Amino acid sequence: MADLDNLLDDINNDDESNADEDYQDQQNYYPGADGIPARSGVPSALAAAAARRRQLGSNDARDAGGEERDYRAAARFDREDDDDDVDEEEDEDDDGRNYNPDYETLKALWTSEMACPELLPHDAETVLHIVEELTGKEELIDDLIQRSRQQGRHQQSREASGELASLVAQITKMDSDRTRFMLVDWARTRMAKIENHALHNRSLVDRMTKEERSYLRQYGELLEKHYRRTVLDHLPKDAWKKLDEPEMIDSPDLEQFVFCRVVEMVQIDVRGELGALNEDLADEEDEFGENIQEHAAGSYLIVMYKQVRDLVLEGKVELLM
Amino acid sequence: MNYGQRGRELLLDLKRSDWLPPYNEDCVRAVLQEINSHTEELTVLVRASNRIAGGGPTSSSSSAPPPGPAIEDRPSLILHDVSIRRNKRCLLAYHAHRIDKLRSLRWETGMLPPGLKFVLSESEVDYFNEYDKLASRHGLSGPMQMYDWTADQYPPEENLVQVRVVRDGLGKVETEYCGTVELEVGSTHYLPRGDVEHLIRSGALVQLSGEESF
Repeated sequence: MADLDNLLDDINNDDESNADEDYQDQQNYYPGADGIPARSGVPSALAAAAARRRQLGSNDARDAGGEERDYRAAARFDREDDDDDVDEEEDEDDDGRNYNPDYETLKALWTSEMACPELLPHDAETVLHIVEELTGKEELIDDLIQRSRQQGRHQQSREASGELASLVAQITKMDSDRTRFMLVDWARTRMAKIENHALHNRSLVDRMTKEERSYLRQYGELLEKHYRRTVLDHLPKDAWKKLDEPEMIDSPDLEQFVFCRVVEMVQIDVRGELGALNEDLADEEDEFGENIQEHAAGSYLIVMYKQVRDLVLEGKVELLM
Repeated sequence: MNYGQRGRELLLDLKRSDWLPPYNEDCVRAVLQEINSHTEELTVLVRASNRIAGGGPTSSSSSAPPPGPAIEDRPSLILHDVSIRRNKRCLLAYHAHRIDKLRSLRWETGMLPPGLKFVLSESEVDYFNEYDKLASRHGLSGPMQMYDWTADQYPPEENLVQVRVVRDGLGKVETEYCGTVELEVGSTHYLPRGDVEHLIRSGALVQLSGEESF
């Protein structure tokens, strides 16, 4: 996503800047001239390269040194312009990357869901935002491809911006493909979890969407139908035909070990399950408080899921893959 | 009779096979039969102990035995009950494992390959079809309905992929921005991934990677 928006700006400006290209070209002929006016939305390095290519085509006679200087001038403007941008765009990161909170949330949701043995809460708002964004990107891609075709066909000299549009289209497509993959894979992972522990998940319906709840119900019916047909109906007494006795319900393995990152300072009780044999020992240790470990933000742990479960739900600990 | 042996046999069957063993209907029936014979013996025992409890002397109220079957009958009652539960558990585990495999098959191929049908029971074929319908319907509900849920099993790496055609008679494929492409056996193409992904998954195209593609 880094410079994509700059590129987009540039393509949009390209149509306008064509009009005063003569003027620009003039400036390019005299690279030493001071006070080159800062164009709005000065291109990033890529766009500068495209511009340079254009000049190469139109002006063979020019010496390489001037070209070089011209390029550097463009780059300098680029940087100054970026600095100005920071004030306007609040979402911009320190390293100049565009920071999209929804995307980051989705990434976190997806990784946690993959790493977590049980179903985690759904986030409908993020999904809506991402879907909107993806739809917008699709339109943008279509638009760009259209533009690259037109420009490629009509004017030979305008080929550079046509190529640029096509390049941006490809990058945007890759970007939206990846986002879409995460979104769909996240939903698929949730679905698989719902299926795997269908009976257990009846207690977790508040973590699901309306669609997932109805899916759980329908899948449960299907499962029960299959079991009835193959096994349960052939059993002699009603008492044995039950499918939902507590000891029969398959629940996720909460004692699985997970990788996680601590987001804010937490205390983790690492005592775990104790047998009767070392209970005395545990009491002794309790007095010294050695079972409670403190972990500062930013530390990475491998820990039994059960012990960080609440912290994960509170968002104090992030699961990693 | 070797009690409990058949249930174990079923599960070992699953463990020994690569994907799924043919549905072992005989064994399933034998286990169900075993459950039935346990029940019969259990009924006989319960009746007998009830008769004794009913006809026994009730005079000494202070030292009356606790209600229920006599103490010497209890071990066999419990044993029969536990055997029934164990057999039931084996059966359910056998079927559960099989439908787990069927579900992942649905996500991998999207349809039931004809060659695999003979290893499944009738009920399992029905299950597969219904599951397929159910899962597709779930994909079409909610805000993510415009996406193909079965596409992209793995993270996408490139927009365009190099593929070789290995199946006959695919005809032409319509692509998003490469026009229409004729897919002849043995030819290789460089096509948008989204347009040919379903063909790669069904095995009609082979994706080439690295050295191979040049």
